[in-house]
Amino acid sequence: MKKKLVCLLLSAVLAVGTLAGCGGGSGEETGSEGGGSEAGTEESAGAVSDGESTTTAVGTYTADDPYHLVFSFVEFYEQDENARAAVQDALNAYTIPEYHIEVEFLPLSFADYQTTTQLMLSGGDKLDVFPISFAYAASWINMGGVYDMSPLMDTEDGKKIVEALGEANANVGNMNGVLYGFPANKESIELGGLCMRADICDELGLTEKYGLDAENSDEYTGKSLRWDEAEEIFAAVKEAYPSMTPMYLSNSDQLSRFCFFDPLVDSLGGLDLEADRDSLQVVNLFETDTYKEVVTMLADWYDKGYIYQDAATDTQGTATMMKAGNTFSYATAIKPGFLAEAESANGCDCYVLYLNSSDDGGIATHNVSFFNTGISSNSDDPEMAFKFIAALYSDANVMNLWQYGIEGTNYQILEDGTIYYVDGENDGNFAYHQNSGWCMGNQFNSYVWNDGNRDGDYWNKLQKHNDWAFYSPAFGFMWDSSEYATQVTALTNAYETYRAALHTGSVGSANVESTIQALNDALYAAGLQDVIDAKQAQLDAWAASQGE
Amino acid sequence: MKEKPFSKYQILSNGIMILWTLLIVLPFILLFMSSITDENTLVANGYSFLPEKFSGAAYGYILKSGAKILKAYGISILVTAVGTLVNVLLSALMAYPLSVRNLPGRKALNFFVFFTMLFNGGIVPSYLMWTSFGIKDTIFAQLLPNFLVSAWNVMMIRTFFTTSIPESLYEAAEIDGATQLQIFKSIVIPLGKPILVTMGTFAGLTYWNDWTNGLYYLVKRQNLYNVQNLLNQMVSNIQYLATSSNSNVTAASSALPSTAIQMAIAFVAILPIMLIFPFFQKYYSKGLTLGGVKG
Amino acid sequence: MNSKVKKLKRYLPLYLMFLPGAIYLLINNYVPMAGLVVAFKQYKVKSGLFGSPWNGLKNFEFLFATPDAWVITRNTILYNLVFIVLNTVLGIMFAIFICDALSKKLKKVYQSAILFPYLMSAVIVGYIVFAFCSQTNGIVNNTILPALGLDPVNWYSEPKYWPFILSFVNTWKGVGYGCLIYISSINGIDPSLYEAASLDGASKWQQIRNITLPSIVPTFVTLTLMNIGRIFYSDFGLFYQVPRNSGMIYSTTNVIDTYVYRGLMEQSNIGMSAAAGFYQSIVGFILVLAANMVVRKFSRENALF
Repeated sequence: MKKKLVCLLLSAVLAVGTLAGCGGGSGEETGSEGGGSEAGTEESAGAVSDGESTTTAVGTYTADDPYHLVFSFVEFYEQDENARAAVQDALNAYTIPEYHIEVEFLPLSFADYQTTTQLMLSGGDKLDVFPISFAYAASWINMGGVYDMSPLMDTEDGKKIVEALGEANANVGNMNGVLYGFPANKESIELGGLCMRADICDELGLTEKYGLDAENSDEYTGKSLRWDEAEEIFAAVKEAYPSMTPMYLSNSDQLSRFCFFDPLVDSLGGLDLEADRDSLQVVNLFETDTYKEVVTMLADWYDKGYIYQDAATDTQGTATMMKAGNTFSYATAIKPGFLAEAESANGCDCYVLYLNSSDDGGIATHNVSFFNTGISSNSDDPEMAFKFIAALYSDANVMNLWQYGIEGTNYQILEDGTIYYVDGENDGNFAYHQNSGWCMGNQFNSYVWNDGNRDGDYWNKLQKHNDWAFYSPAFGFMWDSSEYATQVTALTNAYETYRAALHTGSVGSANVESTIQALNDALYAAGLQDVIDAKQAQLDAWAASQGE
Repeated sequence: MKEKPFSKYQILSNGIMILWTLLIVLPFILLFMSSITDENTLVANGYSFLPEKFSGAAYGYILKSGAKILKAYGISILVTAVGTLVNVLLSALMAYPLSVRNLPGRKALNFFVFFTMLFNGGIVPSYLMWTSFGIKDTIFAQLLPNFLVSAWNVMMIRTFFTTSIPESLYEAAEIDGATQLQIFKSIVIPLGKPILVTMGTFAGLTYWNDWTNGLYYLVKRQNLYNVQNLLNQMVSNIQYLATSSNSNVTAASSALPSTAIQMAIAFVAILPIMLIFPFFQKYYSKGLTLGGVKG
Repeated sequence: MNSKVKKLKRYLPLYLMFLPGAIYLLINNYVPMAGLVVAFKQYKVKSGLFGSPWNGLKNFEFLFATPDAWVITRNTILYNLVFIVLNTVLGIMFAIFICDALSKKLKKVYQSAILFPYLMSAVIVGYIVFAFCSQTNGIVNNTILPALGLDPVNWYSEPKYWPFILSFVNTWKGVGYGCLIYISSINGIDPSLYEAASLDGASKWQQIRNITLPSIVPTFVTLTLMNIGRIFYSDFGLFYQVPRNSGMIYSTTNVIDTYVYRGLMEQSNIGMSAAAGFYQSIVGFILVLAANMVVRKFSRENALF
């Protein structure tokens, strides 16, 4: 009987052998290892097209024999399947003759995005162009799942992308010399502000007192609310409506609305830009005066009943709370066009005011490269994938089709050149409307979606909103934590133990100092100093390479 | 046992069971009540057994995507039915040899089964294995991976066979010249009914509750999603979107279904089982008595 | 020779019956198990599971090189021990009670009720617990505690309450599983044994002690041994969704599974997750081998293998 068992196990091992073969062998000749640059790129830098056909190092494609490209993206809103299929056909009717590329959509929901992408990358599944969240970038690059696009940047297609994004932003998706993705064009600065219920402001006389009415615009005009003013407003609301929550905060981290640090990806060691805007000195952010000041203020507000009492564990979201009618305001990032979005989501008129003045607004790597468009190393022909990415950044037709669907079917062009749903469709019943141009591709090169409050100049306004931000001196730097995975695991757990309680104020004034101390003790015990030192070394090396 | 209708023991035991039943039923009532509570009341006042304001909006929302949910029900029912039948059959077939006392190599075979409960290679190797069979984006993705045979069920069934079926029955049958298959059909299955029905119930619930297979293997064919896939995708989207610190992401969360809708979907997902199970219970009665088999 | 052929003829059908399930376990469990090597490797997509470079025990470091290692290990083991005891004691008790229900109808009601929580996903259970324990709107803080003249409690930031809450929720949700299995084993007991005992004038308690309990020992042993094998694993949903991932109560809610999940959420490190699984399995394996040996000493028949 032992023999039988041995026999079974042996066959299992044999089967595993073949399994390993198919998992590991596929695409050995086409892809590149995450870190290294690919052999053979010299002779084949980029796809060459003569109109009739497109030739790459891998093959030649024509309109009759196009390259089949799998394009995955995050779908934030539910789409009608048939409408999506129709849009895919319409896109192919354009891209096949134009680029010799046949696109296959692979929409993923936000919750499934990481799991599914990880499995597809690990499993060697066919995937060409896909979104790379900056949070997962380091690990996907390190496991060799991402194609390094830097050798392709000198091509015509590469130039198109640089033209769309600018030199600095086109290079922000870069880690240790691996160009893994391109950010989207969007309002990258996330400047904190307060969105308040208009009716209560009017009723309590806050509107006149703080000039909310006159200032009520989501475009920054130089006026901002000081924290003590915000506190006065909360006090007035609390007095008039004791059962109402003056400010809603939730488990989702809003610390950046109150102060601007460069977290260098994960907040485990960062730059204290409030103290010094030019310093490249990596410090423990949770020991800074700025941090202490902010969380002490939040704890005080919490004790006074200004902050939602369940904030530390709440995940209901701002719109739900505002609609329910017992929440007065919430802290959020404000941008041009915010007000209309907020009012339709919250179901009430709102006033907004910036909590920071313009010179407090900064941009760090993660602000720009929250999501990036990159190429999977499972791609059969990365040069064709790159061609498609270039189209996303330079060809309005591609972007418009993917984002908004088919003209006349999914949207109509209004008189001023902006677009909106066709008659009869709205936010509640549309068939196709991705609305995720802030995530991948160049939305600045597509139509402006007019939700009733935007005009043809909208993209310029967003661009202007970015223009006055100051850039972190470490902008473009991407921390590679792979060698410190052990510490990062322990640090994440230690940080998460105290984060929500401190950042929502629910820790209470009496415990703020001891909790900050406990957080720092836990972080150092988990190896924070190692990580800070390593980050500093990587940052210094990066800064040196920038100077060259 | 029924000579004294209300013995102390009966009062005590039934009292405890009634209390426990209430403890279980109350949260279910709360779940149902919150699914018919007006969303704004729910957020403002919290969950309540007697909400201030009722609303059928959550069920209206479900009805709107009725076709999709009906299809998902169909998938759930089909997969659960087929999966459960195959699971019980294969498990019983495996458990019977393991319960035969003098089967050569029995210990090794037991170990072979038990070992799979302890170690697993993780999701990536399983994914490679099953995708190499081409089940990706087919209905088989809901059926084949993970749940078709569970070592846990096999071990429980084996234990029951060992203890509750007297060996003398097998001996008698063998003397009568019955083949192993006949013994399996005419002795093991009828006498093993209590455990087979119980483990079948759990196998069925495992299939009914599963959303991982759909998540891993149905990336391009989400129209093969079962009810739990729909529910899970919705609920985890809400958690991921609402907790992101990126304002563009949180903006997208305002379009997601509310708490009341989640409750309604959760309720709809368990309703069929709650309705079917009581009818199913007649199979829980005792197996054939020994006399019945002998005769 | 003749006896060997006879033996083969007798047992061959049994092996054949075993075969289909065995093939499935081979495909579904054994072959992917080879992927455990990735726990000792730095995984690279292009090199595959077996071609990736070795990196020794580096993937395991994160499980031990942390001040939390003690807390998560302690929590995991203690919770599992409590769960095993509660589910066994209550499971057997409820099973006996249900089998002696006053009427068939009541029996059906009990049986359904005890199974239903099994249907609820952890997320929904989390919502229900929150409905009771929420700071602003919780039923406990708003109704129950004031009625008793007590001050409201901030449940989600007080670690000391959670061992009780989690144990209760786990029993509420999980006791039905063991209970139904015990019911089936009680149903498998030869009724003539009870008839004989009744004739002899045995009390209900004597019948339970002398007939019911001894008859369900094998089931009890099998269930417990299998639970011991999983003592380093925990129900992720219970420990993540029900405490609503509240940081302040990690000291009593963080277990190995949630620790690994939080730590690796943004790292996608296949090697490290495999290492965690391997560690949990190997400890369970050693414990179960030991427990099985002890059982074999007392009763060969009840041992798992």
